[in-house]
Amino acid sequence: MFLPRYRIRYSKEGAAKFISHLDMLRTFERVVRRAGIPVSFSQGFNPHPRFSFGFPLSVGVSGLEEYVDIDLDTAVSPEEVAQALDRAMPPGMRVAGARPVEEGAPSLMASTEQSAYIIRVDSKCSTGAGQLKGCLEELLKSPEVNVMRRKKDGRDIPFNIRPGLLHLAAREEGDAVVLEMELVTSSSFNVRPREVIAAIAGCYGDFGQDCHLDITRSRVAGHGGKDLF
Amino acid sequence: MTLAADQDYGVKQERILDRVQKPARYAGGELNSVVKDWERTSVKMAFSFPDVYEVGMSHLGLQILYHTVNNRDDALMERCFAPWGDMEVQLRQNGLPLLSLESKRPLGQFDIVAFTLQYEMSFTNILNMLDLAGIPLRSADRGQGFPLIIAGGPCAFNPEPLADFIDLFAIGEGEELVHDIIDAFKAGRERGREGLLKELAGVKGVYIPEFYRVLYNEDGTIQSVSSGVEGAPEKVRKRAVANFDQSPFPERPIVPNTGVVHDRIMLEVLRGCTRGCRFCQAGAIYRPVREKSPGTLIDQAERLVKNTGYDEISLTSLSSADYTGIDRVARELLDRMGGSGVGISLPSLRVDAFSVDLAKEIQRVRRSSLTFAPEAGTQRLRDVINKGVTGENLLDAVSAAFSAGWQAVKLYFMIGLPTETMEDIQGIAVLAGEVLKKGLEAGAKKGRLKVTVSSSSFVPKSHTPFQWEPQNTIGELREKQIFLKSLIRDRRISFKWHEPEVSILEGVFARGDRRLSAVLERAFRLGCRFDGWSECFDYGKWLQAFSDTGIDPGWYAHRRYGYDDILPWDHIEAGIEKKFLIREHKRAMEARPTPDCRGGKCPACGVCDGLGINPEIGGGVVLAPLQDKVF
Repeated sequence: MFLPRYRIRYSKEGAAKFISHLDMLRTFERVVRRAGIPVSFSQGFNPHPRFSFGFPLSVGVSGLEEYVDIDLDTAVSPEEVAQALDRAMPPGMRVAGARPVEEGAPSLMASTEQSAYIIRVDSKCSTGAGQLKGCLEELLKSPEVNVMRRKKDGRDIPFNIRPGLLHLAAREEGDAVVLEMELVTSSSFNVRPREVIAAIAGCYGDFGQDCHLDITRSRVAGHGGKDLF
Repeated sequence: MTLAADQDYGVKQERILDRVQKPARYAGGELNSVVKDWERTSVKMAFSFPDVYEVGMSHLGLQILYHTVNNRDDALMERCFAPWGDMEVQLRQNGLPLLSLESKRPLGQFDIVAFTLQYEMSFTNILNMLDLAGIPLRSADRGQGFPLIIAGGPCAFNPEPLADFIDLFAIGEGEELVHDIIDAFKAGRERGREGLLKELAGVKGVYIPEFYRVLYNEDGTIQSVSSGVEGAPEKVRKRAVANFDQSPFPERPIVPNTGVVHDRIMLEVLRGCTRGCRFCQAGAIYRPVREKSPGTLIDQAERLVKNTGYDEISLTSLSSADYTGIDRVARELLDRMGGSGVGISLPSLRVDAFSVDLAKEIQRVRRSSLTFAPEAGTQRLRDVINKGVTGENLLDAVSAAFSAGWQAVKLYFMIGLPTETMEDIQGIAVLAGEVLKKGLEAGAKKGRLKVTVSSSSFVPKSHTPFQWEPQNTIGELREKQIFLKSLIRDRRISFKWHEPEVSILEGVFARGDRRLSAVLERAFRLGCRFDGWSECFDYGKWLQAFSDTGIDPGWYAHRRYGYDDILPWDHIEAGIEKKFLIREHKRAMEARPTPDCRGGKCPACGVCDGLGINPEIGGGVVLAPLQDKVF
């Protein structure tokens, strides 16, 4: 039996950016109960609401357009779902909208291919966008960009992230430098913003080392940048 | 600090949060947290919990006081927790003060910083929090311009070890007392520190240690404790709320963004306990017993679910199975909530078959094991401690548990109890064996059947019949543990024990006097933090602190105190009369139990008469003071 499924677009900023991916399940369980929408529960001894999240957001990273799919027991208008959820959200989280997901559509996780990030770097940690731009061009020209990635057995081995670098840019905003990245974030290949920072440090002294990075995931998209909503 | 604007603290703190574990501990911004207009609010309080966020947010008292204070237009309450070691390092390295979670302001900017004293081993965290806030540790070093440092909670019943650091102790229940303290603060705030403290000294339940002079005898015992300031009462009596059914209860509790220890609705069904276990301080200080009415509980439960979204309601109290008609109320709650997937749980079980049946019936989410606390291994010793439980009760309870499908049972015992002999220790092993046998008889699955024996060490506490009793030495406790371990041979029984060193320190501070303030400060300077956490506890540093200050911990822990001694906490009254405690102590030595006053016979502890508050049973039925006294 196909249950009415809704894709929810939401943001997660401020204090809410510190809610870990693991805690998000618990957060949404409580949100839907407060919202009073007819969420479908899994069968079994310890029933849980049926949620399916997209690509995890790291702790401390804000998300402007995040998604979760929720199954309901009965069909409700998407506007009503969105409004009820928005009212029940904890501080820092807002619901931008809800839309029905057609039967047989691939899961959020399977649809997600790429993400856009905006990273603000303190002025004291960089010497302006000029040198950084040259560095980014160099990275994009290289056939291989290797960073160290920890394997399950604890060994660090080089990993080529170049295929996952779709777009890199830098600009100045006030006295901060803003980095923009579009990275491949699919279940089969995935690049993390901090890996790109590490790669930049390879050609730009100690860029980003011991320095606060204000990271925002501004968009999550499907193949070729296709909107997931 | 050379920061331009107040809000810079929050920004600066956020920059270090990606360098610490679990940043949600410090971020605030949870559902139902309250951020008031700072400038427009007259009295600013910080509820300061001297342990990590996950522990502090599991504490109902925090939620009650937060709700009570923030409901006032003229006051605000924000929260602050002890930073874990990694955060402390970051704060110190970056020259940042400890901040509140709500408006991210340094504790030093609040009018009142209020600590809760739940556990002796959190005392060094209090000093660390003051230090991280840039507040001088000792009251005497804090002039005008620093917050009033206050403390309450169970350990405030013997406040003396903290006397040098805390300006004011709030004794007893806070729902009404906190209002009186805020009112007196407003009345006296313009009168300087001394004037303010004098104003506050007039509030019932308030104890201001610097207004009391303690003189000592040559042997180190106390010669006298006297109030040296007019208006500071010779005896400070605890506060307790009457009409508990209608007392303020947080119907919009803060819902943490990260997992905490008790991550569920805590619905307080009753307060106090009349069972009268002679080692139990909670049973002494929270008397008289007061139950909420079923109607109130059901209303509160419905609103709590709506306002939090939690899927579990824990019926909390010292002994929830004692609530009159607990089965009816639990079933009614289940009927109303079950449809929305909300379950009911009981935090602790009484040792009887009724409790097991109740747990079986109402708990949707099965805990893997059931826990019982017979406390002692022989009937003689259970009579000494007045644990109204028989071996038969326990075996009935575990039989009910095994036949209801539980395969694991945990048994809590205490070792080092007064009058204990090796026979009593042996009794623990015998009892565990009988419990295992019941499991086999009930046909519990072979590989799954498990009995866990967990032993803590007895710590004599103030205001209990055992307050005069010496504590076993580390050597004695260890010998008993080793003996017990040698008797537990069956692989299906596992044995867990507490480190005796921690228990001894608990005992020192639970019965200590104000000379121990020096030890606490020295231990803090040596780096002691989170002493209740085994990974942080460093006994060597504590021994160093005692030796540096010339204080013998054994004198506090292992000495038998006399009935005629002036005890460090004698001027703090829980409402229970000393002559009752002496009588109970003597009965204990004769292994004579004293019945629960719920049964209708008043043992004359003195609480109801002393406080002018009667037991409130079943939400309206008032039982006492009972005329039919047993003595």
